[in-house]
Amino acid sequence: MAVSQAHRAGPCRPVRPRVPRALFCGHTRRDEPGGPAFDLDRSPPVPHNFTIMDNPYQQQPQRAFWRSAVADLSAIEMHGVYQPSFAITPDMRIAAAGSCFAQHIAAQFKARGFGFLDTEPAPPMLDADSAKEFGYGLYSARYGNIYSVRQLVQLFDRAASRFAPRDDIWETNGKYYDPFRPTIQPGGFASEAELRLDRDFHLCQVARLLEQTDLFVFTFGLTEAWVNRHDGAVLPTCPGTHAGRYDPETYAFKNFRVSEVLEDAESFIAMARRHNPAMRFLFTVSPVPLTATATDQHVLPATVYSKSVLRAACGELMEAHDFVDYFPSYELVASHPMRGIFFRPNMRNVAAEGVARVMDIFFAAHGAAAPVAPSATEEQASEPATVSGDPACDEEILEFFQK
Amino acid sequence: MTLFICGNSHVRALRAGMQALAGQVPATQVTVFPLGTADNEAAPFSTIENGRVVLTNGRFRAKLYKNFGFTSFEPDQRWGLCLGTHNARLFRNESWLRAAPAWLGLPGMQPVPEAVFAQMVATDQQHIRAFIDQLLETGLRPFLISAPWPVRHHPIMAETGVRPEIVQAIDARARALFGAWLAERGLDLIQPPHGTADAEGFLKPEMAKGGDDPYHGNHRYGQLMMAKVLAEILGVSVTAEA
Repeated sequence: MAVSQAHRAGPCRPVRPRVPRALFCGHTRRDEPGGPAFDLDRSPPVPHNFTIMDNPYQQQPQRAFWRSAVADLSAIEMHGVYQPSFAITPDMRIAAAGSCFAQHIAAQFKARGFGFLDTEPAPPMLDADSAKEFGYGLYSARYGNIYSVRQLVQLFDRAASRFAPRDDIWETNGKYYDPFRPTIQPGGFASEAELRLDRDFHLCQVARLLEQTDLFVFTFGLTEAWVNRHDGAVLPTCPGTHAGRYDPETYAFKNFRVSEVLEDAESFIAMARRHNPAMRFLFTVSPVPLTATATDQHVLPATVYSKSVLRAACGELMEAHDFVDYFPSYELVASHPMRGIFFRPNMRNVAAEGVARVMDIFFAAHGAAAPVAPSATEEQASEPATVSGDPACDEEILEFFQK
Repeated sequence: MTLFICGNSHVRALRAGMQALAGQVPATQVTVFPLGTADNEAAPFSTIENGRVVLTNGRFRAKLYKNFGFTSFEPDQRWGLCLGTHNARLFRNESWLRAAPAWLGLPGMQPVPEAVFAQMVATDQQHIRAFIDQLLETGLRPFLISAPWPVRHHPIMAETGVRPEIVQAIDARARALFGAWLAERGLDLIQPPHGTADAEGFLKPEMAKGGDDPYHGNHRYGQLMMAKVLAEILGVSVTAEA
């Protein structure tokens, strides 16, 4: 099929170009009689002697075109943003880790009746808020937030006794902190012995986690990290913020590059699939911007760098492996067509409505039911995801240090 | 001034004990009645109305009126409360098959750090603590009477298989935490009398109600406990049969 159309424009009254129907694959054009007014911002200019030849875009679905998939829709009307690479079913054993946004994903897997692994459940009689405060139930073990994939790799290396970091115990005012999860015990452990006992049990559970896992969900959070210069151990928080003491001779700032993120992710995938060769991975990028950057850049470009690196790495991983899926939580919250509507006024914290929207899109794509509520009526069961509270984000303490 | 004693079902043993001691203490001096079972403590059961603490739990409120003739707690009254140490709510849970208080140092079990345990206890006691704070706010300073030690044949140990040292550690630490919370407010917690626990810290069989009841003390225990209460609060020395 070939269509030609001349485009002529006079000096006083420009003639609107007529865009060939074939370009839109049969979709209604807004400049047709009776349709909305023609919008020059939305209509592509058509060159002289334009001829449409057969091309791959003619076969593309509606969601492939910005105008029909984004521009003509409100932020909450977009569909097909996520096309799962593989099915996630309730019988799968699911483990999760990552930055604080991953807590939402973990919570939703549990709420919707998926087989979410929790190897360190909260003790009995601990109320839900306190359990969260003490790091129980946030992820599949009590490892707290894991912001970089290298930290994730090192966690499993520590659990397998392949890595013994120099940072052992941080003591502050008679309380004891685990440098690799300094926020899971508010106020610190009562004694060194208590910390060691807790950590030994924790790492034992982590060591067993991979062999129980069918799907590992990881939310990439940051590229910025603090590293022990002597052994390369990646810390989840900067020493001297939540606990520990900052010493420039011991600790160095690290901003991971995309090649490093990729290498670490591949390393984790290989390690995990040695435990379970059939393991699949679901990666996401947290839409939550940096609270503060340790680079010399403005926090906005620093954030964009960080998220871009992580997003690019996820794309590479998904292209490289058919057992890797990427869920665009970042795009669904932070991309410009969303106009920031899912952020709170500080443009950093994601509003509950935004989280619910993202989670509904994810689970709808997998044909999953609404969250299971203890006393849910039929009407409630059809309501969108409900999200309780903000996730526990370690890095928010950095705002405290603002001059 | 009459001493009023109320609380959860552990008050039944205190009442039976007090009845046995009736000849030694004027009946008008001490009135002992339970308000209801401990499961009523799991939700808010009191509030302040017009400067007085009233019970919002229907069963508690009805018992307070029926047995004591009161609709509220008055600041000039003297009250002993048997609340806050029914620690069975904490230990009768299968989770203790895999978890243990960290200070026991039991290998292979999920350690529950002290701070986490303290929060568990605070959660369990939250409505009792709220009630006590309400009484203090309205000018009534109660004293607290402990529940008996845990019973060794409780099904959580005898049938489920939770280790006795875990149950004992939970009970002992929970009592200590409640006692410390009360001490911060200048209130006393009267612990079970000397000689009522066995070597492991469980209620002696001869002090337990027995049968299918894995929680309560019997009238002998009640006598001993009331004798201790009367001595500490009223300065009255009585002789318990046990």
